[in-house]
Order: sequence, then structure tokens, then C-alpha cells
Amino acid sequence: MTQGISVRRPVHGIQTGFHRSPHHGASIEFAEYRAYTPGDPISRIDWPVYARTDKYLIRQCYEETNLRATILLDTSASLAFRDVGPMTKMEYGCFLAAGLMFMLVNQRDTVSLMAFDAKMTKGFSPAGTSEGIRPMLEYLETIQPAGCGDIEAAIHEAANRIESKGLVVIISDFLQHADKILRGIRHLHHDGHNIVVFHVMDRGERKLSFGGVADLRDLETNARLILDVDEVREAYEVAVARHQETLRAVCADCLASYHLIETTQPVHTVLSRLGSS
Amino acid sequence: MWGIVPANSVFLWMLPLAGFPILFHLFLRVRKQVRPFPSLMFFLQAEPRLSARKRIREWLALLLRMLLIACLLLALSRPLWLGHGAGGPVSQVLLIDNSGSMSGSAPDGRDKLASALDAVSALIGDMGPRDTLAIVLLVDDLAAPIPEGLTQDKEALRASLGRIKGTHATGQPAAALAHAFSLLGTASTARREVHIITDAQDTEWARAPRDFLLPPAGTAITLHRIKTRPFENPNVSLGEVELPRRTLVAGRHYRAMVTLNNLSKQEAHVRVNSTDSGGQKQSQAEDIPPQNSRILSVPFETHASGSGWLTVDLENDAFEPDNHSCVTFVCAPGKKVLFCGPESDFGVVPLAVSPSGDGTLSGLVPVFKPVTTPLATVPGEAPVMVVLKGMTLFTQKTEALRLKTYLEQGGNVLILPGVAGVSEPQTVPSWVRIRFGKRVADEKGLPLMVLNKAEAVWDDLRNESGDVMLAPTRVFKALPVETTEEAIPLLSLQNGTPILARQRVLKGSLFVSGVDLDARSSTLPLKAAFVALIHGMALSGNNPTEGATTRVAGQRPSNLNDAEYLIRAMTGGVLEWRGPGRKAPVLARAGLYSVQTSNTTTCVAVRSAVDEGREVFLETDAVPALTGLNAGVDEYQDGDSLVGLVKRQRSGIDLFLPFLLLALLAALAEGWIVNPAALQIRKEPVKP
Repeated sequence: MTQGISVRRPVHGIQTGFHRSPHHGASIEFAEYRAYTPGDPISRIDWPVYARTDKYLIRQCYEETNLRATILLDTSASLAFRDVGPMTKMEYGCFLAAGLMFMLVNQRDTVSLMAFDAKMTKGFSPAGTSEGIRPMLEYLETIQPAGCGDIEAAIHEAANRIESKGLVVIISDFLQHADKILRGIRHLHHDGHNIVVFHVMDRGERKLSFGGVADLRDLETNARLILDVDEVREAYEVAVARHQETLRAVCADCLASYHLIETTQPVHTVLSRLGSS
Repeated sequence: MWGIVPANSVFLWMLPLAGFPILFHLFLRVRKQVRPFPSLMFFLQAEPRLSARKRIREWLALLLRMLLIACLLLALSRPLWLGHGAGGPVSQVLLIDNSGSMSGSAPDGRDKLASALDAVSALIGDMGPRDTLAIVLLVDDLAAPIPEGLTQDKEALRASLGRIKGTHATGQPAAALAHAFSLLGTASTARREVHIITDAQDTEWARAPRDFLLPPAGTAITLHRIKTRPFENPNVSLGEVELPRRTLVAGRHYRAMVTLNNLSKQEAHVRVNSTDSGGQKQSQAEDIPPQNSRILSVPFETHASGSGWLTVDLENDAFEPDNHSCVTFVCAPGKKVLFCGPESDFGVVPLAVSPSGDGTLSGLVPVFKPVTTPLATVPGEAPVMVVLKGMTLFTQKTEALRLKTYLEQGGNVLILPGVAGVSEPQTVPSWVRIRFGKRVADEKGLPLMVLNKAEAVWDDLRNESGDVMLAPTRVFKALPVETTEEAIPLLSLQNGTPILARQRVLKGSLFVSGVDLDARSSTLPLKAAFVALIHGMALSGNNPTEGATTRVAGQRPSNLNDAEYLIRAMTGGVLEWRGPGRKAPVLARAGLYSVQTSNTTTCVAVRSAVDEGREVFLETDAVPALTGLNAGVDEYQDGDSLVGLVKRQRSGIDLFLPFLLLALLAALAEGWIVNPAALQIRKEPVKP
């Protein structure tokens, strides 16, 4: 069984591929019948149907095209966090993006990479070959998480840049108010894109691994908060879970695929699951 | 008295320990760990009030811990809330101030001791059937026997009150309180009281005790202060009687000195009465300026050898207990003066020693012996003075040693210049620090002057201003003496050359005169003062009070051992005590007492405590003599108000249990605040 990344909504491709296009074309997948009109090649008339119905009908099939995927990778400072997992969220996101690129290229799709924090910081042209994605891979190796993130703004900017309907993969820790994130994802949805969301978290973010009085420093804003962790642990975990559920619901509304990933999970497992879904 | 009285006040001193939780909080607080975190948004969403609540909880926990410690300490101090509650049987000790000052007047005109006895009588009347009571006197008084220990016998207690009279002594509050506490220590009742009824004169109560007294647990101490009415007339106190500083010989007249102190701001007109051991009485009036003192000369006569005494009393002043003084002394029989050589060698000295020749008038008998071994040839008692002509005798080692021993034992030696033309020997022992110098002579006579006027030799010649009343005297020929620092010149020429000097040799005195005491050498023997000078030299060096005892009222007789003694009052009221010397009672009143053992009898003179007449009383609630004790001070009004006050005090609540419960509550509350989850009841999961 071959594994690959599939999409729910038709995409605009530039060459024949494995994904459904909104246009009719030559394929084995029947779409509809239409009446013959002068000018149509006679060879396209479905003669068995004419024999039964005495009407000239032309059989139409779906066109299959390739996928144009865009990976939006969050590089804000919060991605530098590592507590329980074997690597930082940034490293994990890079591995995930690279894996996706290989998968897409292998199924003859094209892929491009956009890095962002509060805005787009780097963008690459789509590439459909292993050689074509090399610059993106090299860039992934050099990324240093920095800056304050603004996911909504970054998504809006990306949506404006992506011309044709395709696949948008967002890899981020989504540390922003869910309502703002919702507006960004809806924008993408409105533009007709297929959306895949990878919510990367360290397990220590979900379940606090420390206790007692702590002087917490925000990695992005450098804000400071002194509190007794044991006292707020429960409320914190509830707030995190609520945030995840909100994101999951938002993604479901936008037909987006939501994946909550902990950095402890092997990347290939995640990709494998994605390919078989 | 209202308020809270702790039984163990030492725990109250530990109350600052309640601040330890704050110190621990400040100095031992948990260090914060700095942690980078992706975002604080979820913490801020959680519950912003949690931190504030946590902080409030911390401070509440701190306060509760402090409350817990404070309550425990307060509970351990066994506080008693006076005035609220009901009590059981009571053991009380009534400490009555019977010192001299209590003979003064209270504002109602009665003496303060009478008011104190009224107060005690009221408290005895208020005794419950199960209450016990003891009376302790500030000055132990043999004349006022009181029931021993705590008793329920009201009649015996009342009867003892009638025997309590004022004394002439200063009390010892520390000793009396220690006695009171020891009595209460034997009590089985939970409630113990000490009531001190006094005028709070600062003589007794302004001195802090040397050692802190520890009362039995739960003892309430109250000082009931009786106010004092100021004296309307001047008060004069009588000081110590000072006898002449010489051997007193029987059958002679002497004068003692006594000091009168006028403590008031008015001139005092008093009369001083004296009685000697022969029963001879003297009386003289004296005016003393305000806040001034006067030394008065009191004549007395020594009628017979042995113990003698002189009592001096004062009258016509406002306060009687400090008006008595007396002294005892030992009176010697007739004494011999040994002249070494024929009578003609000594000029008029033998005549000055005894005008009658047999000691009838002077008590001194001249005895003439050969020069060779004078001391060895005198039978019976040693002479009071040896008179030598020159220092020849000192050249004989045996005689020199004998003379030295004689001097060291209290004898006196007078050396006159040697025979004319005979130079002084150079072999005089080194302990003799006076030497004869070169002869001087003047036909018209060289004037003499007196040196060292404070010397005892001049006592009989000294007037009130301290001058020696010696008429102008001249010397025609003399051997001036040379002295060292150990010798004291008594007479000298105008140029300061000593003529008469004294050297102290342990108890005795060596007098060396550079002038022959006859009319050819000087005019001194022609003066009336000459006799007094010779007698002063012959009798000097002995303390007449040696062997006799003079004490101040409130003190015990001194030098008593474990032998059985009998103490009797020789003057005043009947008083007799018998027992071992170490348990001898204090002598509370001025007067004469005989102290007898199986083979000796001595006389003890007791004089008044002069400070009892001071009109200085503690007015504040701080009483230094009660330092370290939790004592209240109350102004005494009358017996009824005193009883009412005591009843209020007795209805106190022991706050031990409330404070303990409060501590327990504080502990529970602290536990709940610090760890609320541990106290919550866990809900059992519902089984499907």
C-alpha cells in the first residue's frame, strides 16, 4: 500500500498528478454526461448510451493534477523551548517540514516553504524535485527561533502570497489567542486551500514538570511572573487543554486537519500516520 | 486590683519568641527558580487572583503561627484574670510593717500601725471556713508572739494582734517575703495571697533585693500602702553615742558625744536625757536649727569597774522611735603608772597623775621602781603607763624587748629627757623612731604650739570648734625630738621643732617629751591643761567599748555561736529568750540587753534606727523591693474597702485553659490555611 498526502478539496495543479482538479479532463474517474454540441469530436460521443437512449451524450471525467503545497513554519522564540522532549520545538518543526517536503516531492507534488514569526521572514519558490527543495532544507538547518510570534498576521500574509488553491501546512506551537488563529485559518479556508495544522508542543508544556515557587520568563516577551506552580498547575493544564480543543474545533470548522504533536513522538511516526490517513 | 496576673512570669519574658515565624519567613524563605517558558498566557488566564490569595494565606499562616506560640507561652505563664470568676479556699500571709516609721501618724491622726492592725483584723474577719492565714512581721519582735505558720484559728490570730507594738527598727522586706513565701509553699490551696500592709517608707522598700525571690505558683502579691501625715513638729533623730577614746577608769567623770540631727524645716527645741549605769540622770535642753545637726556633750560617771552603760533619750520632738541611743563599755579599776626612778626625777608628773597620791580622784596610782628592771618588779596587773627618764633602759636588750611587748599589748610609755649632761645612747633599738636632738635653751622661754589637734591626747582639751585649749606656754630648756614619718608630733616650738611626739606601737603608744615636766624647764606643768595632757597620755590607746556590743535596732546580737544563750532586756519591757546563739532573734527596740551563757555575761546596747524618721515614702506603683515579683499596689483606705478589694481579686479566672484552647485553634487554622486540600473530605467515586 502506497502512502501519500491526500487532500479533501480540489486543487489547481500545473501537471498531471494524483489529486483531483476542479476541471474535467482525461482520467478514469467519471464525472458527468453532457449533451453533444457541434464542434465536439465525434469520438467522444458515448455510443452505447446513444444505442439505448438515441441521444448524443458526451462522457466527462475528472482531471487529476498535482498538488502545490506550502509549509508555513513558525520560527518565533517560543519554539526554542525544550523541557521533556529530546529536542526543541523548532528542531522538531524543521524535521517535520523536511519530512513533508520529501513526501510531497516523492508523490510528484510541488512544495514551498514560508518561515514566519510576526510576519513572513523567509519564502521559497515551489519546487517539485529533490534537487529543488535543497535550498529549503539548507535553510531549515540554519533556523534560529527568535522574535515575537503573530500567527494570524503571518497567515494573512501567506494567504495573500499563495496564488492557487493547494495545500497549506502550518507548523507552529500556536501560542496565541485562539480567536486570532481562527481568523487566519478561516482566511485560508476561504481561499479554498486544504489546511493541515501541526500543533507542536513539548510535553512539559502540557503537564508542568516542575513545582514550587518559580520565576517564569516568557521566551518571546521576556515578561516575568512569580508564582507557586503547584497552586496554578491544575488551572494551567485546564487552560492548555481548552486552547487545544478550541483549535481542534476551529480546524474542524474549516475542514482543516489538526494534529497535536509532542516532541517526544518520532517524526516518521507522525508522517506515517499522516500519509495513511 | 484588676487585671491579669501571671503565676510564672518567666514565660512572659519569652513572648518575643512569637516573632520567630516572621524571622524564619524573612531569612529562610524558599529560593525562587528562574525558568524560561514559551508563554505565560495560560498562567495569566488561569486565575490572576491566585497569587494574591496565596500571599494572604501565607501572612495569615504566619500570624496564626505567632498566635500559636504567644498563646502557648501565655498559657504556660498561668495567667489569672482578676475580678472575673469564683475561687476556692485561700491561703494568705499578712505581712505587717511594724518598723519604726509605722509609729508615725496616718491621715486620720491615728498611728499607721494601728491602721495596719485594723486592716489585718478586717482580713481575719473575712476568712472563710477553709481559708488559712499567717501573720509575718517585717521586724521580728520577741515581745509579740504570733501563731506559727498558716492557721484557721481566728481567735489566736486576733489575740496576737493585741501584742504587736511599734518597734525602733528598720525592717528587712526580703527576709520577711522569703518567710511569707516559705509559709505559702506549704499550703495545699490553689490560691495564695500575700498582703503587705505598710507605709512604703523608702528606707525599707526602695532597695531592690539582692536575689530575686520566687513565690509559689499562683501567688498574688498586693502592697496596701498606708498614707502618712507629715510631722507637724520638727523631728530630731539621735545618733550614735561616742565615748572618750581612752581607757575608762572607775570613779571618774567623763563626757560622751552624741549627734542630734534635725531632719525637719523648723528649728527644734528638744531635751536630751541621759542615764548612766550608776543611775545618775542628766537632762539638758538643746536648740537645733532646721535641717542641721548638733554634737552634744553628755556627762556621765563611771561608778565601778566592769560593764557600764549610758542611755540617751530625746524628748519634745514629733517622732519617738528614733529618739533612743545607748552604749555599753568596760570600765577599768584603778590603774598604776610606773615611774622608773625616784620621784624627784619626774618633776610634777607624779602629782599630775594622782594629786592625792592614792588614785582617789584620778583613778591612777603612781608607783616608783628602780631603773633596772621596772616591768619585772611590778606585781599584779600591768601598769597603764611607764614613765622613763632618758632612753638608757633601751640599751638593755632584755628590757627593750620587754618594753616593746608591753607597748604592743596596749601599754603606754612616756620618756622624759635624761639626766643633764648625759648624752643619749646611740644603741637605741631601731623600732624606736623618735630620738632626742641637740639641747636648746632660752632664759626668756620659747613659745610652744599644739600640733595634730585631732589626736586622742587632746580630747579633753578640745573645745567645740576643735581648738585645743592650752594657754600660752614657754620652754626654757629642752632636747627637741627628731621624728620620722611613723611618729606624730604633738607639741613643737614656733619654728616647728617637735618637743613632744607620739609613736604608735601596735596597740600602745610611745610618747617622747623633749622637755622635763618641771617648772624649771617649762611653764607647761603650771597650766591646768597639764593634768589632762598627762591623763590623756596615760589612758590613751584603749577602746572602752572593746568587749561590749552596740547594735542598731533590727539587728541580731553579734558574735554568737551555737552555745545556749539567754537574752534578757535590762531596760524597758520584760523580754526573755533562750536558745542557740545562731537562732538569736533580732532586737527590735532600743535599750540594754544582757546576753548570758553558762559562764559569761555581756551587755548589748541597742539604739534606734535613725532612718526611720525620714519622711520619704514611695508614691508610685513601682516598689523596688518587690522587683521580680508581680505585685500590685493599692492605696489603703479602711478595712471594709480592703476586704472588698480582696474579694474582687479572689474572683479571678485561671486563663490557662482558654489560652491553651486558643493555641489549639490557631494550630488547626494554620494547618487548614497551609494545606487546605489535606483537610478536605475526599469524595468516594460512585461505583457503576
